[in-house]
Amino acid sequence: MSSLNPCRAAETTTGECPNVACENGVIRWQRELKQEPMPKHVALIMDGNGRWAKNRGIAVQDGHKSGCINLKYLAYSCSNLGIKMLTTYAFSTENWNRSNMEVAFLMTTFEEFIQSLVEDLMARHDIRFSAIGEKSRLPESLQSVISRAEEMTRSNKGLHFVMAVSYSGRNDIVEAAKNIATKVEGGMLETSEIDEAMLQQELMTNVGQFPNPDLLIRTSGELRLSNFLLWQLANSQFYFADKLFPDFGEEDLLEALASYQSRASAGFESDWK
Amino acid sequence: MFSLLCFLSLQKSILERVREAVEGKSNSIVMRLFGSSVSYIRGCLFRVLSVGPVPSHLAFILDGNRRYARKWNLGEGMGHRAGFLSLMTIMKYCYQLGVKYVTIYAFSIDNFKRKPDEVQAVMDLMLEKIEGLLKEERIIKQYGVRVEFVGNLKLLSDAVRVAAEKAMRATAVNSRAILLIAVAYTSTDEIVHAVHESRLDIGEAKGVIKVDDVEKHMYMGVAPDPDILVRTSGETRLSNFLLWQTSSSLLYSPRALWPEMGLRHLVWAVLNFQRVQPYLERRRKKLM
Repeated sequence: MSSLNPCRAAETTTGECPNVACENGVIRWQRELKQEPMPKHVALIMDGNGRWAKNRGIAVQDGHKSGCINLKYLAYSCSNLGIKMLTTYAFSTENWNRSNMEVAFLMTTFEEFIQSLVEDLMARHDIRFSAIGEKSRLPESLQSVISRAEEMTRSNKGLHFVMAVSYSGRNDIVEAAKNIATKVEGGMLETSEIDEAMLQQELMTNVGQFPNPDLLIRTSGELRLSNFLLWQLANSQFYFADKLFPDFGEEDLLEALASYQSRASAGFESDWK
Repeated sequence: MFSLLCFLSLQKSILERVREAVEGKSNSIVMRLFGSSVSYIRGCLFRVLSVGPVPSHLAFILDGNRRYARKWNLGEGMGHRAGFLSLMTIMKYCYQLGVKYVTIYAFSIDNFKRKPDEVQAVMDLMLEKIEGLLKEERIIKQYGVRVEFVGNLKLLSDAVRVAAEKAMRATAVNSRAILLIAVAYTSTDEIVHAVHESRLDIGEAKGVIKVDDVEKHMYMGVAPDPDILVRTSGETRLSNFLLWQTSSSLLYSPRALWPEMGLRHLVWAVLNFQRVQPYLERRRKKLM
């Protein structure tokens, strides 16, 4: 399994993680990891950029930049491991309440990130890009970058990278309900025919082949879902990592996958009652 | 504080107490003295915890009864009985602490897919438990508990549904504390049902469904969102429970099996809740 240098570029780390130790950790986890069962769809809540920056006494913007660089490395790793879909929680509807400066900075960062992701990963990894969420609230420039990226990568067969921007799990469900209601009004459907499968199809995550994540990873030690993919996480395994997102590297990803595999092999058959 | 917690965790396990009571070997005066001093210390501990914010709604996924029975070589079905005792104890602690709503995941719609014998056995057990719960008048009267059965009750057998409705009627006057029992429940079914009902509400008028409409029609609409969701036996899945409602709940999965769930786990969960609560409260105010 080839991967790029697992430690981040020198400009973003403080040199705490010597290359040798990192690579040893990665090799150790790679040996533990089996081919099956590998989760087909991994969801990621990238928490902790702000705190990471505060701990180092640098600006929050630099924390977000490090987060983006780290996310690209994680996308490479996922692609190499054979994961089919990676959904990341970039920006929630609650985040609109942050300061205008931070929001504007994040929007610009997303534009740069999407462009570089598509350029770098399309050639070598056949990556497909999608964005889900209330895209109408995003700035025009970001919307056009997103639609261009989606268009360019639509027919790619590799890792499907889904970015949730301006996304809310509850709004996702309500939008799906609205779409169904429109169909009922149009006479295409009876109210009594509405069922779970139908609602599932109308959700935003239906862009991918595997809409429901098998594994959800949340960094920075917070133990919450924060309005991310509520319906879709019905039977997903959760993994909460204590590290802040810019520090969450390939070794930690492999550890999360190994934990998923050990639970999967023990059987997901729920034992209650 | 730590040594206090250690001391409390040395309390005899529920199983041993049951065994002693059954075998008639308990030294009742000593037990009573021991019991009352432990209760006093527990009361002090809860008063200390109440200095910080106390969660108003706790939800539990009761995982691990059968594993407990296997671990201790108990008979068939004894794991569930130990689980029921554990439930009574945890409910008592919650209400003593001042938690108003307690929700438990008793039976999922997915469980109907199990073998018919097993499903029937669970239905019988549930009937027995509902009647047993009504008999536990001491706790219900002491804390003024109202019982609500949450879920698609039409899927239950008639006997169980009638007993459930009887229990709900019998306790409807109470309002100090509320116990929500999720039977024939999955979150996805609840959401679809809420969408149905919102649609029927709007009816011919071409209105637009909103978040509030859906929330109004949820089975769980009788309670606010849970502050903490606890799943025992170390599993970290929601298994289609309260997906909508746990959007900003603290998720806690202790390794202990449900019958082993004790005061120390509850205290740990509440302390963690108190750590994040100020941040969540600030965010909630910003959104309003």
